[in-house]
Amino acid sequence: MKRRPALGLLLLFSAWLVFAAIRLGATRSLDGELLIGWPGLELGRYRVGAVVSATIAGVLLGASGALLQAILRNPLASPFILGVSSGAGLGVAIAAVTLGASATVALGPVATVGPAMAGALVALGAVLLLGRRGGSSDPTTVVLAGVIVGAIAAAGTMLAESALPLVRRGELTTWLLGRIPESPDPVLVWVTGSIAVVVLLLALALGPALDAATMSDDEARSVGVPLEAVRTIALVAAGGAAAASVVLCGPIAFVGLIAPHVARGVVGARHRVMCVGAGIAGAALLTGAEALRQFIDLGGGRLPVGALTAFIGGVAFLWLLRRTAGGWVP
Amino acid sequence: MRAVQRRTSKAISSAGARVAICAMASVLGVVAFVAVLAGTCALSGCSGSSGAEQAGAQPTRAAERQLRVVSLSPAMTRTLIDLGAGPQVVGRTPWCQGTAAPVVGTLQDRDMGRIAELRPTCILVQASAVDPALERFARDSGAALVAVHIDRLQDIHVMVERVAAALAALGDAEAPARGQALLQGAEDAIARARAQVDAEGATLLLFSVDPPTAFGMDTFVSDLWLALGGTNALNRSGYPELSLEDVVRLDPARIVVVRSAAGAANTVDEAGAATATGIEGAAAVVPPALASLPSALKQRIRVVRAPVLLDPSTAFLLEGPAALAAAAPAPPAAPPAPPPPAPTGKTGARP
Repeated sequence: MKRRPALGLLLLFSAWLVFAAIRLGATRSLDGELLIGWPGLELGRYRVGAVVSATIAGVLLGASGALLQAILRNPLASPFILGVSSGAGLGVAIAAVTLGASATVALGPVATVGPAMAGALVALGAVLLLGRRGGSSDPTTVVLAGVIVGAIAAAGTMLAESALPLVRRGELTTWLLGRIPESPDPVLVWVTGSIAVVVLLLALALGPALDAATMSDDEARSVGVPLEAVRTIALVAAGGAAAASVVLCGPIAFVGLIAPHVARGVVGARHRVMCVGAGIAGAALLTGAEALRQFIDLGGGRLPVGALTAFIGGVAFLWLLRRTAGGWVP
Repeated sequence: MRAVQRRTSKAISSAGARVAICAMASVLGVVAFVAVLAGTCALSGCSGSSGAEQAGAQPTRAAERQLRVVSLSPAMTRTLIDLGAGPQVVGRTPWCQGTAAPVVGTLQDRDMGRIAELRPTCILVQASAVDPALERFARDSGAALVAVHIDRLQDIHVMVERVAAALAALGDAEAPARGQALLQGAEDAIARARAQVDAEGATLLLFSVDPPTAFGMDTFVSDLWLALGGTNALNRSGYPELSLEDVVRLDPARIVVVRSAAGAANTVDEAGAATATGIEGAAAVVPPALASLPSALKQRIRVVRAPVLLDPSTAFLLEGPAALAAAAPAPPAAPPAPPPPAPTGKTGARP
């Protein structure tokens, strides 16, 4: 079946619009009452903030996942495979231990943004360095390095968590589950939004090279693709996008894994369109999860968005696992 | 293009894919661990069983023996100290304060070998269900095991009574009387604080601000606020997470943010006073995570830095009322009206 990219992009965009409209126009009160309709600017601005945050983070995760799956030639690659989220988690955990409760209250989100960004970038740098073999980035080595760096960072996070007073552990646990800020810092929105645009433009520019990069190294080089440069740019862009997403919303799992597959199924496998499609699909998935969680309350308030995406993503992961057992058909 | 895709398929199904499967499985594992941890915290907060039902003191078997206590609960350690049994604590958690006894781990992660070396005659745990291994150890060693689950204010009272009873069974006959004195002191503290608090209107009690997470109706902090004559704006149980939209919709008369500040004295920041004096600064008064609330609501925020309010021990009973009342102090009583001026006799026409 021949896929029409423009129609596919329109379809994905429509899905995002529908989910955004649901988030903007409906919620559930603390008493369980369904509230439908625009609540006015005073309350509505929180809903707009949530949609903007989810959209930016979704685009970042989707595009990052698409770039990584192409460069690592691996349909199960995702932004967090580079250890970025674990690194960010370690940064926040160390800050929680060293800053103390009073500083955390006074600094608010700043107490997490800086450490998360630092942790994510350090982890990404370590993976890129460790992932080099013979002077060039080797996909398998990069994945292995990401797993190991992520495991070490996760262990460090647990260590730091054990040093936290009992009453403060919940804050770190909540951050590690990921959340969509209703009132994101405007500077953060501009910075992460700009990173999302830059990553999408890079993906557009790298599209044909990424198509060739999915072949073997020799084949890619034979058609004139500067494989090393493409890999390095794509890895840095993907890692930076994932780090920006973590800084905005905390670690949100599986959106970066699933969005590229959704996009590939709708717009086809050509990376120029697919990467943009993955960004929009990521935005739709995360906005949809944010809209859905408004209506799920298991007694402790609304379900954390990270738990919801992890649950959906886990099921999708198993489905992909079975699918790839017989070979990957994009 | 089809040929490229076929070749891509072969490349993808290589070793890299298998490595990624392991990677994603480990990511899923970490996420699941975090979710389970959060769920466990939420469930322990939502549990409605009372301490009276859960308490399981078995003091008689160890009666008349040397008092050697291992406490696996910071709240119960503090209670022991207030009951005058601080020197008898021989093992504790890293979070227990006021004693230099060696650390034996936590309730979930304890060093049984070390506990055995300490030869405790009494073990204190704050839990709804005791680990069978710990129960077996207590049975085999003849140690009294006191287990109390604490959710409500009344559970703290039960805990004090149970600990005091256990001490009495181990030879400290005066412990129950001291326990009753502590509980009476708690009642007095509430009475004093009640006279000083302005509890008018519903109050939202938060223990975390990003995202806002509240003390629900069946929590010990909410119970204390109700005992002070206040009303909880949140008609829900447990410790639910709120959205900012929820906070605005609740429109509470005041928002009290209870914070832990290890080592700090119990203090309160009052928005108006701090802004006026410039000592604390606005950021320390309105947490940045709540800065986008409407101005009218922001004016109602009080940040109480009082570790005792997060520690369900005798310290909470004795110092908590004043700490919580400080978030909503009653306006100072109006000075007595001046006596009416005495007639001067200057008025009136002379005949």
